Amino acid sequence: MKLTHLFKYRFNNRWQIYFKYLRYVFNDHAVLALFFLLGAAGLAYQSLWQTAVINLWTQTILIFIILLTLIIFKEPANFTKPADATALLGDEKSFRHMVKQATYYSMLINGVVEGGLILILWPMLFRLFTHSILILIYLTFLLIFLKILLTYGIVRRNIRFENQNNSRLINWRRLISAEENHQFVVLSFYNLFIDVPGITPKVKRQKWANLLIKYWPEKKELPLTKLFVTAFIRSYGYD
Amino acid sequence: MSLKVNNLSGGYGQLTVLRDISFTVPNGTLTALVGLNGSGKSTTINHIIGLLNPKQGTITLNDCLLTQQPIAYKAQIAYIPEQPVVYEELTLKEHLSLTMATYHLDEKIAWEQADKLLKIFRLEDKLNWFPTHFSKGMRQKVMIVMAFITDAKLFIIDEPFLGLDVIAVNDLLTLIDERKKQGVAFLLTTHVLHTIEKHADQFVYLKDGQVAAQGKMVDFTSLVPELTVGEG
Repeated sequence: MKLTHLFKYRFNNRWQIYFKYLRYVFNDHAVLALFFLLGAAGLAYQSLWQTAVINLWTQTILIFIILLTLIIFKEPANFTKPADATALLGDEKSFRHMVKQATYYSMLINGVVEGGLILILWPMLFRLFTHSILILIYLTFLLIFLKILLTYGIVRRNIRFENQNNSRLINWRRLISAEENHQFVVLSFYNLFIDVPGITPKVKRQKWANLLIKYWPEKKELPLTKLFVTAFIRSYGYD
Repeated sequence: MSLKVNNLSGGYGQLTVLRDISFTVPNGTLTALVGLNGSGKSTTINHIIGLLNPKQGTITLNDCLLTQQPIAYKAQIAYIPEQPVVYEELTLKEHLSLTMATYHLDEKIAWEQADKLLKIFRLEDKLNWFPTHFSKGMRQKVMIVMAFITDAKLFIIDEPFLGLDVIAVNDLLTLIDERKKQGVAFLLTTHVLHTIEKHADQFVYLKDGQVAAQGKMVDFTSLVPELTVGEG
């Protein structure tokens, strides 16, 4: 493998894995259920579109939903792996090249997703705000542009150190950590349908539950109950 | 020419761990970076390999300033981490190929060197195995082989002896001595001082993020008596 093609190699690898898991997501039962759900959702949306009251509340809700579209699917992928910090140390140029290509890829994907979501909202925008197709097109492109900018901004934040000053170093640790989080989110979705190897549940302290954990009754005949309760509260993954 | 760390201060985020650290690792020498747990050894290593950005001070390797010429600087380094990290999807052979590509090595020469090292560390029949399934010690050996097939000018080795069998420890020390004669510089962190004392040329003792003592290895006992309790 030439290191200049690192992005292509990792991209192909990643999507091979995703396609492998998608077979389990879109199994026969799920596809059938999806058709019914989509049909029901389409009917409900049509009904909403026909009957929605045009007032400040509904317009505000729609604006809120549009702003929400900017927040979801904003995290960029950078295709780094924990071993890169050691294995690719001697060729940071290739590593940077891969991160650059991954950034363009993420900007593109996130922009397309944003465009798709806004297209879905077009009927409501048409009803609640404007009948001008031109304005809707401008708005769509503006939101796509904002999403792309947001994605790029997140990459820039991940690459830089807090005390960057005029240093030309990039923050490998943060990039790798961001990618691990990104992969965790994606693979957790697949993990709902099939056991995905390598998914380690994240642990968070959950300070709000400290008292609950501390005073959970301990019984001699069930010594592990408190342990399970603690794991349930602090772990993100449940099997 | 050498590694020069000048007035380095740094840490993680807002937390400053290192304060005004200065030392030099001349070519052809082995410098032992020692200290108690939490003294700042790994943080110093992370700064030197560019994983952390210095808040103050400079780090230069053969006149390459890390913060301004990171690509040229890092091309001269081989790093063996304390915890071996390998790619799940690559075989041992593919790991070595990746290293050769990373350091732009001549494949023929590099594979000759790799074959020698694989024999030394008894990995020669495991080229098509996945290192992710190896024991910790074997993965450590993979890291060592990957580093020593390179022609890096500076080797940074973090706690290399943990998890290695006695024969492998001796083999590693022999390799280090051979490379030193070729002018390669080594910076090595360890708690196992009696293993390294005959091979190290100088030491840097870190305490609470500062250089508490440094000098020639022969003076270690007199300069850092608290670390030689129970040794030898």
